[in-house]
Parts: sequence; structure tokens; C-alpha cells
Amino acid sequence: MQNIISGEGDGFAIAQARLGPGRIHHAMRLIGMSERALEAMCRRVTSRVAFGKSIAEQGVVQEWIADSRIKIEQLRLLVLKTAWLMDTVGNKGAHTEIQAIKVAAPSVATWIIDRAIQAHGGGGVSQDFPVAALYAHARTLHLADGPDEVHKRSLAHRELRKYETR
Amino acid sequence: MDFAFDARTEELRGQLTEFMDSHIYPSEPIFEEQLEKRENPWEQPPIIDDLKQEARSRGLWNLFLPGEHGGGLTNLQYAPLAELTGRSPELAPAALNCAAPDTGNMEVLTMFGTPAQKEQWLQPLLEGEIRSAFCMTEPDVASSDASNISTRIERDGNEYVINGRKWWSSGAMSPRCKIFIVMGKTDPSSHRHRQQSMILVPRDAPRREHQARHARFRLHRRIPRRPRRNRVHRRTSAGAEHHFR
Repeated sequence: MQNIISGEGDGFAIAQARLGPGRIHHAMRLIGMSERALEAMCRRVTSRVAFGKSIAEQGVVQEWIADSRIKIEQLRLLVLKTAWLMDTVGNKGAHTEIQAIKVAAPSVATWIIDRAIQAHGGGGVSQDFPVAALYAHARTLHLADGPDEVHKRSLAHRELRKYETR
Repeated sequence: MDFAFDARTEELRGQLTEFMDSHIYPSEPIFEEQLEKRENPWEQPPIIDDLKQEARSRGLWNLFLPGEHGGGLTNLQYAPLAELTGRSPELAPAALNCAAPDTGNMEVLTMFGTPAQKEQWLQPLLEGEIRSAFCMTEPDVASSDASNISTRIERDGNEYVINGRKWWSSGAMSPRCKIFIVMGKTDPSSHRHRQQSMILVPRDAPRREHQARHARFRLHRRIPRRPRRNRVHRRTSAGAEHHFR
């Protein structure tokens, strides 16, 4: 009897409360994983030569690097804004942003890590570099604590509510 | 708008960056080696204990938890620190006692636990002595809709009997995991959001017929067999081995 938490019937509410800060933690860690992958990508492409020039000189590789940096900077601002909202107006007031980072962070991370894997060549899918393990980790976060689609559904409901006719 | 981190955050970022450079990154190959060598695939490599001790001695401990029991940081202060730990996701969060699912479970116990529950479970978690699992997802239902969760928690006299199957309960298979927070239905006839409860299930809770009461809570065990060298990613999670080859 003494093992129930809070009270019978409180499970759903506790689950909601439990996930608020966890979303920030996961999202920020995914940014760290993205930074690590971008760093690994840059080190790899500046250390190898193919078809007579550094891989870093390939336009397509530079586009991956530029897009990766842009995505990280955008995402970090969004997650920090969400953290600030949670501190100032609480989880409810930050509802849309919390849903948004839960979707945006794994999306950015898997995109960047995937490019980093590609830039590594075969090494990218081996244990000799961290990128394959980072990918496996980031990919699960499209599902863990609720799949992307559930958060988008919830976000869209809230957005649509503004246009409901009374 | 102010885009700068405050002084406390900058101080901690500096300390954490130095710890990552001096201890975490150099430990990654050791961690890999110890993973290969371990007998029990759910056992945590011993390097993590060394890192925990070092992190704690540097004051890099429980930073995720607001208030007096933790780092006392705001979300905005902790966020950039979580980013740094994400650079080595297998090692750094665990070293700082800031790894899921313990973080969420400690938050739950801090917010909702009775004094007795806090003493028995929160304290050893804060000390990093034990680990915990959060058992919500079930193999038999689409658990993305939490109202589907169908594990039954039924009262029988002064006790609860729990029946159900869980998976993706990260960390549950680790021998260090001593407590499960289990979500299930206490009242399926209640309002949609009032059917569920959470209950603390000690790992050593009676699970055999003659002891029956807390019984029949089964952890879905799924340990895929495949050559260790082929494993790209390992997690000490119930059913959470990834099938990358």
C-alpha cells in the first residue's frame, strides 16, 4: 500500500510532470551529439584526399557542414528559449515549444550525424568512430518519450484551437 | 533579450568542459574495451564508477535537479551543461548522476514521494548507489497513446497485485537497478486520465506463487544473440538492444 506514488489515479498527471524537464535534457544532449558529429565530420574531411583534392574542398561536403552549423544554431536558440519559458511561465505556458523541441532535436541530430557518417565513408559505420553509435542513440529519440507524430499531433491541435469557430 | 549565459552557468561550463577533456573523452576507449569484456551484457563497465567518483569530487553531481537536493539550477542554467554531456552520451550523463531514466524518477520522487519513499529510494539514487527504471511502454499495445497502457494494479487487502508486460524500460536489466516505477491501471472504469497509477516496485518484490502478492510483474526479457563485435550500440535496457549490424 505504501508503494503507490501520490495516489491512485494520479499516474497520468505524474507522467506529464515527469517529462517536462526531461525534454530539455534530451534536446540539449542531442545538440551536444550533433556538435560532436560535426566536429568528427570536419576532422575527417580535412584529413583525407580523394580525386586529387581534399574532401573538404568538395562543394557538397561544404554544404553539409554549413547546413549542420545552421541547424545547430537554430535548434539551440529554440531549446534555450523553451528552457527560459519553463523557468518563467511553467510547463503549461511552454507547451508548444516543448513539443517542438521534442521533434526538432532528434530531426536535426539524425540529419547531421547521417551526413557525418557519409563523410567518414566506411569508417562511419564502424566502431572506430563515434558517429555510428551516436546515430543509433539519436534515432531512438524519435521514439523514446513519445514518437514525433504524437507531439506534432498535439502541437497542431493547440495551433488549430485558435481558429475554431465557437 | 540577453543571449549570454549567467556567471554561474559559465563557471560550471568551464569546469565541465575541463572534466570532459581530462576524463570523459580519454575514458571512451576504455569503456568500449570493458563492454567487450563483460560477462553479463547488462552490467555497467567499471570505468563509470571511477568517473562518478571524480565528477562528484569536482561538484559536478546531480546538476539536473532543481532545489536543495540537486544543483539548484534553473532549466536555462542546466541546459548548456546537458549539451556538453551529450557529446559523450554513454559516459558523461552517467558520470554526473544526470542520466535518464534516473533523472526523471528522482524528479518524480522529489515532487510526489512520501518521506519514507524518499528515504528508501530517492536518497540512494541521489548518492548514485543504485539505479532505477521507468516501466510504462508495453509490447502488447500502442503505448504512444498512454491511455492504452493495460498493466493492472489491483488492490488485494493491504497490498497491490500487478499483472502486465513491459518493455523498453531502459536500465531495468542492470543488476544495479533496484527500483522500478511501474505505470498501470488501478481503475479502468474511471475517467480516461484517472485510470492510471504509478507504483514503486522493488526489484526484490515477491514474484513467486507462494509469495504471490506483488507478484507476476514480468519484465519482458529480450537479449538478442549475436556476435559481440558486430554490436554498434549497446544499452543496458530491457529489450533495448539495437539491431544495427
